[in-house]
Amino acid sequence: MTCREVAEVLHDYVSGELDDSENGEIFRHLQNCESCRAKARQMQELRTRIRDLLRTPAPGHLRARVLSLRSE
Amino acid sequence: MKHLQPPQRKQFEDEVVQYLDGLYCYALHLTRNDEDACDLVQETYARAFRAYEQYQLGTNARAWLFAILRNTFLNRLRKARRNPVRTHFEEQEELSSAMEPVEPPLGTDPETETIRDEMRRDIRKALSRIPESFRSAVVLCDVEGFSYKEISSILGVPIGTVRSRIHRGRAMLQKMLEKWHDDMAEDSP
Repeated sequence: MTCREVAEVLHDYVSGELDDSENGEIFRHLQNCESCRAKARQMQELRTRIRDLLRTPAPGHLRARVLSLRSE
Repeated sequence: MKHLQPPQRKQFEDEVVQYLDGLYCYALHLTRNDEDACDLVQETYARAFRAYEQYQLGTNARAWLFAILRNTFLNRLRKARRNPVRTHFEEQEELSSAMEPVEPPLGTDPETETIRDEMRRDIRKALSRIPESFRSAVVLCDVEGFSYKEISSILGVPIGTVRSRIHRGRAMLQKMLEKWHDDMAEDSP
């Protein structure tokens, strides 16, 4: 794969949306291309940061209100 | 078509209540304030519990709930646009306090926690500045871990559109975060 082809699917690779064969091709390219590897790392870091930092538990009063909506 | 029978209602309700934290988190990103987010989640559950008879076994309950939440939000937004009462600044201020973690995790040193707080604030600020359709795609993918197919059903758009929104949404975020980082570096002595 060329760098241009990798760039087109790098987000999908980071999202885990590619099949095994496509993942393999990207993985092999990244092993040999420092520039694409840096881009992939940057995307992965952003995704991990978003996931780790933005999770917020629902407040207790909301949980109580939702539970009260259930049938008896 | 196989619908839920009355004895399965409790099982259905127990299952959907598990998704409360994720729905609240998504609602905060949509509404940008705690009160509206809580109200939106409550209405989502009220609708889901009323509609349980139409719920089909085998359907992805989590994606179904997120779709109800977003549709309810968009309906409210259309109404609110006809009668705007809040300023963007007020929304941002409320978002900041609403989204603070309840307590810092045990065993985390204060310096690391301060850095995490700054990063969290920057990401929230950046997310709040990108259009809702892109914000939703990124939050559903990166925070909630939905697949493109699930996001397509929640947002009611083709998978290709989801893919494009995630690519562009992430790129917008990355660009803003890099710019702020560079600005801070320039401001430092």
